[in-house]
Amino acid sequence: MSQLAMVIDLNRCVGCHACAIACRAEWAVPVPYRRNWVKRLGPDATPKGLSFTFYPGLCNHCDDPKCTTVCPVDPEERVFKSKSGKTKKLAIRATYKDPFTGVVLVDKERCIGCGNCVEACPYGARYLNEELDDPKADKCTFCVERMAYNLEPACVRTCISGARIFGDLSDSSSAVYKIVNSGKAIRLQSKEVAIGPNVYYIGKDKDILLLKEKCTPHERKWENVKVPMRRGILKAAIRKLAKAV
Amino acid sequence: MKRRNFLKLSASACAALAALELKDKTIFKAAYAKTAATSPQLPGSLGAKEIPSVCEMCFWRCPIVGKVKDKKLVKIEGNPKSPANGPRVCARGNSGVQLLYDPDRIKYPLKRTGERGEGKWARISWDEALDEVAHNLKEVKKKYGPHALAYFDHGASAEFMRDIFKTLGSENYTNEPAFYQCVGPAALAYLKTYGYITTGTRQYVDMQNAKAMLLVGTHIGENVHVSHVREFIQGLQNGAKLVVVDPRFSAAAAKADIYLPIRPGTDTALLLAWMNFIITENLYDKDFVQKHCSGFDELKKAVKKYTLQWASPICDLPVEDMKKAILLLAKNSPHVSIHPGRHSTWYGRGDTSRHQALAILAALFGAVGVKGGLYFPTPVKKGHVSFGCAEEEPETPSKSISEDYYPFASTFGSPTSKIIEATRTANPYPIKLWGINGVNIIQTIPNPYQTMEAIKNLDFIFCEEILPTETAIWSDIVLPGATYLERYDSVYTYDLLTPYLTVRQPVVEPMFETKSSFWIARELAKRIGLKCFNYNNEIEFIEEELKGAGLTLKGLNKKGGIVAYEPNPYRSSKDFKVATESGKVQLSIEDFADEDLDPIPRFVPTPAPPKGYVRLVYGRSPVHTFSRTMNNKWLHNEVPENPLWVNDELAKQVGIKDGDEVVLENQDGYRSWPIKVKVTPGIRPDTAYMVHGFGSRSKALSKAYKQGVSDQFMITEYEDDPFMGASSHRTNFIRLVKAGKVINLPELCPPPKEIPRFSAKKTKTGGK
Amino acid sequence: MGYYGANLKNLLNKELAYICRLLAQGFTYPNGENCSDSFFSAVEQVARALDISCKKVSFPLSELREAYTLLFINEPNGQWAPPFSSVYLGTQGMLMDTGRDEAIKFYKKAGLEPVKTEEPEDFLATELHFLAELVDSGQRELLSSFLSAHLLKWYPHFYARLKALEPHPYYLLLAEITSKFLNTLNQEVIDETT
Repeated sequence: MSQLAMVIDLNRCVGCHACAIACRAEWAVPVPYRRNWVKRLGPDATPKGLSFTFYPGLCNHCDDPKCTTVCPVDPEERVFKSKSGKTKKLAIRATYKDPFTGVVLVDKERCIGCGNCVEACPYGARYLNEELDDPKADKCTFCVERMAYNLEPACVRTCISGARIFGDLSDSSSAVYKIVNSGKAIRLQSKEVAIGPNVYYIGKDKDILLLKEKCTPHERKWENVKVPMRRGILKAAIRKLAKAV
Repeated sequence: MKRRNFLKLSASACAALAALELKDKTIFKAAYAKTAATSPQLPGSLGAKEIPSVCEMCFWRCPIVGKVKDKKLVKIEGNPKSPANGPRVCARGNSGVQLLYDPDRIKYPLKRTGERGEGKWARISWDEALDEVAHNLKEVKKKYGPHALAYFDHGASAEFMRDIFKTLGSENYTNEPAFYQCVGPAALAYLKTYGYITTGTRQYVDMQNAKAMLLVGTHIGENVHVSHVREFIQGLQNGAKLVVVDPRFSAAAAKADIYLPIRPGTDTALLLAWMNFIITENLYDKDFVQKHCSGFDELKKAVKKYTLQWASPICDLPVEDMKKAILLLAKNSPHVSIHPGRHSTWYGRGDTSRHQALAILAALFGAVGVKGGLYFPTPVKKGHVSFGCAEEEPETPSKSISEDYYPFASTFGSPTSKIIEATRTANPYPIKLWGINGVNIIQTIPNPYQTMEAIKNLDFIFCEEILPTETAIWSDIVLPGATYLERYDSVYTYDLLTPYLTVRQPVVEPMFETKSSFWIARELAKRIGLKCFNYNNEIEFIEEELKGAGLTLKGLNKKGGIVAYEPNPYRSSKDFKVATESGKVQLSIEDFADEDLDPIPRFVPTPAPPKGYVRLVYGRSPVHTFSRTMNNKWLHNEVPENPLWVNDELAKQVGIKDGDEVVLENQDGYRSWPIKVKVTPGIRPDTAYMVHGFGSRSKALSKAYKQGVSDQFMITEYEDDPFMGASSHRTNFIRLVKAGKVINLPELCPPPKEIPRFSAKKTKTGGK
Repeated sequence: MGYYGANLKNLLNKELAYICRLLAQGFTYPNGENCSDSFFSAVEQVARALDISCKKVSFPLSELREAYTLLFINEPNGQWAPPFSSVYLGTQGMLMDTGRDEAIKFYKKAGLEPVKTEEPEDFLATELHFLAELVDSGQRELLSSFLSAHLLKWYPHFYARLKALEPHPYYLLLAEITSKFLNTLNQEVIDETT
């Protein structure tokens, strides 16, 4: 199975925020919401020395995504097609993981805007623009729309220092495969939150230490989305009602 | 029933309406094909038309493409054909859309209707606006002479209007804050040492091929110029060692192999001690020095007294660390990038000397014209265009505010500090009119309180602006300038490692009644009666410039809007030539000696903080270009404020915690708006740091107003560089006020006896 | 339906379009024409027709120009009411946002295009001119959706912002007339089609 993934090289990253804005511009993501962000970390002391580094973040397109499990929308069958023409039939909710690319997506047609998946993500990678009449969950798509035109994701294309490396983890000739399999890259996960994020980081020891300390999720947020089905539907219904009034 | 209540229009009302002949006032025409449903558009910026142009979110000017759908700019990307940045642009470059479509923009010519500084306006026509500016230019010149006119400008497009002030005969026709508040001292030092401007708008230093690099106070990564950052990162990726000297642990310091947290104001001491060290230890490039440098013996003698042991207490650095750093650089010479720096108006006295010391260090390593060192520009040919303005230099007044005060000021124009002083005091002559173009002087020039006082003395002040900045608020007439996305400028050539030629061209039509700088300057000249700008529009002179490069605009656009050339940055020893008077790299500068200035750098300490205070320094955020980008919604959202960096030990001692809100009070008693504290080990205890450009005082900037704190309003004390008159920006000191209580800051790094302590001038009336 | 419809149709064809254009002119920068006694008098009459009480309307051109500038162009304290739909309907807080794209879609559907003006296509006056075109040509359905799905989605926000500024009485009056007129027209169109 393919899994698209990204490696972010903190040795190259200078924290310029171009990625965050290119994403915002490409997909008209409204302020203050984000699909893609840069958090500035430090300068702080670490056991390996003083660190001043960055957390460029985006949806991790996890191996075991929890956001997809809390969606209250009735599953619907869909046939997925791989590049090579293979097909696979899956019953999906309004947010799902594409079996051929590993990309986690939102079906905007069917999303009811309940916000369950937003609450569930331990990385805060999703948002719901409540100001809209009919809000839909939104998040990074790894720019699958651009891939059809042989374009890399907008954040990768604009990255001024070439710190974002994008590719398919199942392709042993890809740069991401090589870096990830060298064992040098880390994922932001803890024993509480171990859902296989597919954004990896490499960098100096001190920077990785600070990144892990400040940005590793520990809260199993999806477990806070209680009685997901009923509550979500209710919330969406209430919003619609409020808008109508 | 309801229907009867619907509009009880009387017969007379109908008649009144009919009489207005409103039917003729339609502004619609049949045009679009009548379509029930519009064709589905591709998502994001896919499928957009791409128009090549040049960015101006900062002044590095990366080639870009504007992506346009339905006459609307949807996205900006780097020009994929650009050899410098390719499809990449920084956060600011990506945010140009928000400048173009900022609702706060100046939309029409405006005339002040209230008090000056109140910002009350009425829209007027371009004719009225231009006539009024022209009238005042002529009147002030008639009444007080040509030098009563002064022009503050920044950016290529501001150069058109500069010609008007020059033609009118003012010596104050170019007063770029970009020089006098920024690159001036560094530019002068390198110009005199090497005969060409190695640093100024751009820095000619080959970091991508370096084996080691030295940054002194330069924070690449926070200061983002795309190709420059790329070369820096490429150098590091290739294995270059990095030495960073900075009181603050910057983004660049974070990537360093050796970081030297130097005491502010003592960089020259370190550099002199290093020079002495490599001369005494025979680590310098004897061959290069002998063949290509002059003044070595004088240098050797002059630096003899500066030992690492001497420098250590002054710089507050261990001898071993200083030695390790210089050995690392020496080991990798000549392929070392001794970065010339850029913003160099730090302490007034000693600024030119500090950059001269950097220039000399590069020469001692033979790190000039070789891979990894300083390199030579590759001029890109284009046709020469003459606008027919000021054929001669203006006559100098009997007492010049430029060269009569600072011998090397006139290379760049008139120092801004002198213009403000002359405007305030009429000494040595009165200045009564300011034209301002592309620069918010209130947030740029030290002591804005003085600047505002000066403005009150003017007969007339006008500006060309894009946004209602503080400067616009103070202006009598505001001319709405088109952004870089809506206008042409001159053909733009880039002479660094990836030379190219490109042209800025509009990607969309100008919004509202905004106009290009060329159009404004040309119309103004016409009304003053100057025979100037003998081209009808930009395209005419662009074609002439392109002709000189064997191109046409159409042809250039066919090639993607940009043409790349082969670089020629290096020189063999045989071909090594510099354009100084002696034809050699000048380790000792006779021109300086002739003016009774130090021909060789000397350590002149800048005063240490008064007891209870720490030095205030400032820097850049990668998402902001000074105060210019503060109102950009996307950029503001990324970095909305500028917390004050305070050393963790110091904070602990005075009970300040991370995130606390404090007010700053400077040595003159001026207080800031509240600011959050960032407690970090990444700054010295005798220094506090904030990002420059925040704290706008213009309420008309809806996103920027009162966001963060302005360092500029804390800089009330400044000293001029004795060589060229640039104003210092790091000669101010602050203490903290928390919950109304003044907190004196303990001195954790007391200065040695060689460094005097700052004492306030007795004449000062006190702040507010 | 026929009887009332015909009546309404007559209204739609003439006087209503006049009023749209009058308001469009009113929200245009003051010039000789929209600042004349006859213009002011028409504004008064329309106000009365909508049961809006108003004193005699008459203001000097220079006064209105300053007021207009500060309300709709640039104001030193940022206390202004941008007359562009994008500011209210868009998600990016900028001009030329989705509000403008929506407006253009409606113009296209009507087979119309605004002649080039200095303002973006979603300028209030332009949208009111467009409304006049729809009324003139009797395109009820388009009129209805333009009002409910676009103009009336942002105008109330604009009006609220303007009122909060305690603006010049003339622009307050124009805005009030516009508010009442648009709502009444909308109600009328709804009533007619249901």
